[in-house]
Amino acid sequence: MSHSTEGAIVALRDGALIDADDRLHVEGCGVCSEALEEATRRAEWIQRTLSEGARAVDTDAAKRAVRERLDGIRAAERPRRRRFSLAQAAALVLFGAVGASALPNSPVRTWVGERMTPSPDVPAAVTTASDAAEPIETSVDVAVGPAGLVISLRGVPESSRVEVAWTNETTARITAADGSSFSIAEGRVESVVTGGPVRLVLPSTAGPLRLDVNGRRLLSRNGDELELPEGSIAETADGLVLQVPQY
Amino acid sequence: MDFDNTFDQQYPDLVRYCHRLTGDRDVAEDVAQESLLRLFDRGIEGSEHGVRAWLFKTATHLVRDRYRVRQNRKRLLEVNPVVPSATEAPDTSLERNEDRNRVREALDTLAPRDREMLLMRYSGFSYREIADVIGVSATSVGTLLSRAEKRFERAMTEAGEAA
Repeated sequence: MSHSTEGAIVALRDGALIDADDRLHVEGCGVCSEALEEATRRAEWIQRTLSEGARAVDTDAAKRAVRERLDGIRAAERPRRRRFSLAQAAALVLFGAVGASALPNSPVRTWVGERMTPSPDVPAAVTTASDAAEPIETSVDVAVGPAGLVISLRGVPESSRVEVAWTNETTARITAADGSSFSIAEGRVESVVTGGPVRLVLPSTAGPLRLDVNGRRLLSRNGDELELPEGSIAETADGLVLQVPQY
Repeated sequence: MDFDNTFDQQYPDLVRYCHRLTGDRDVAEDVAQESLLRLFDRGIEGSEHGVRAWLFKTATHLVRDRYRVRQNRKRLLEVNPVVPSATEAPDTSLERNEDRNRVREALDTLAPRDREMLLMRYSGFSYREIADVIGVSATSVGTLLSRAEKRFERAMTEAGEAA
């Protein structure tokens, strides 16, 4: 049998599973035994080297900081739960009305019927297949200001995708669902988005950039340094895909 | 899961791992805290070992994302100034700082995969766990680790000669 590979020797040293023949060979082979000893010496030296000079860590301060952030997240969840309850109540009323309108001689049915019957003078609206299939979106272009660009999006549903593509231009483009509103000032754009996904074309080099979604930082870029505090879920040919975090 | 116990058990090792990985103590603390925040926020449960593996994996991904475009290693060294400890004698402190810088420089010469692999191995992770984070097969970890160790040893020798 030829000598064991360096991978097998290191795996044997580290107690990882290796082929039984490899183990027997190393035990009986002077060359491989020596390689194992050398690998063991190297491991001990690296362990010592990496452990030396390790600075003390202030766990208590970090604990306080994380606890405060967790409390902040929990506090932010409470109003959202109330809003959710209101939405549930609205849905209940709606379903109740629909249910009542289904009953024969129901006053709700009569009321709805009076208002929904098309006037003979006004032709009914026609929805074409292409209208239904074509997603309608709205977009805005905004130039990077002298101090960079801050994009702040609100109302983006949790777990929505935020697709980012990089461009060499100095203008950013934000595209979101139809009905989204934008307000633009120099170096800043704020948007109330009516639904996901959101698509952004962002300058790859011009100015520092910051993207906040629902009050949380999802991306910042300063020069070559890109920070994604919430991480990304995919990379694309010309950018990356972020996901609006759940709270 | 007990917040205090988990924090006490995992945070110091996580900071040291991230510090070795990034060369920046502030970033290391930030990433370690973010990882623990996600752990508690998402209610991740498991054995101590499972939680540890999850935290290190999350921290590794956070570091990768943070420096995805291009790491400026020189800048990282510059923003990681050497601060003498008040409790150490000046000579000892200086020696330790030189050692730290040499380790830092040697780690910086390694490819990200080698660095992650080396630091995970010497933080006590199994080949399978390393393979999971690095994205290679468990059977190739031995070979890759052996090469990474040799590169690190060589880089440390060169850093020592240059000093």
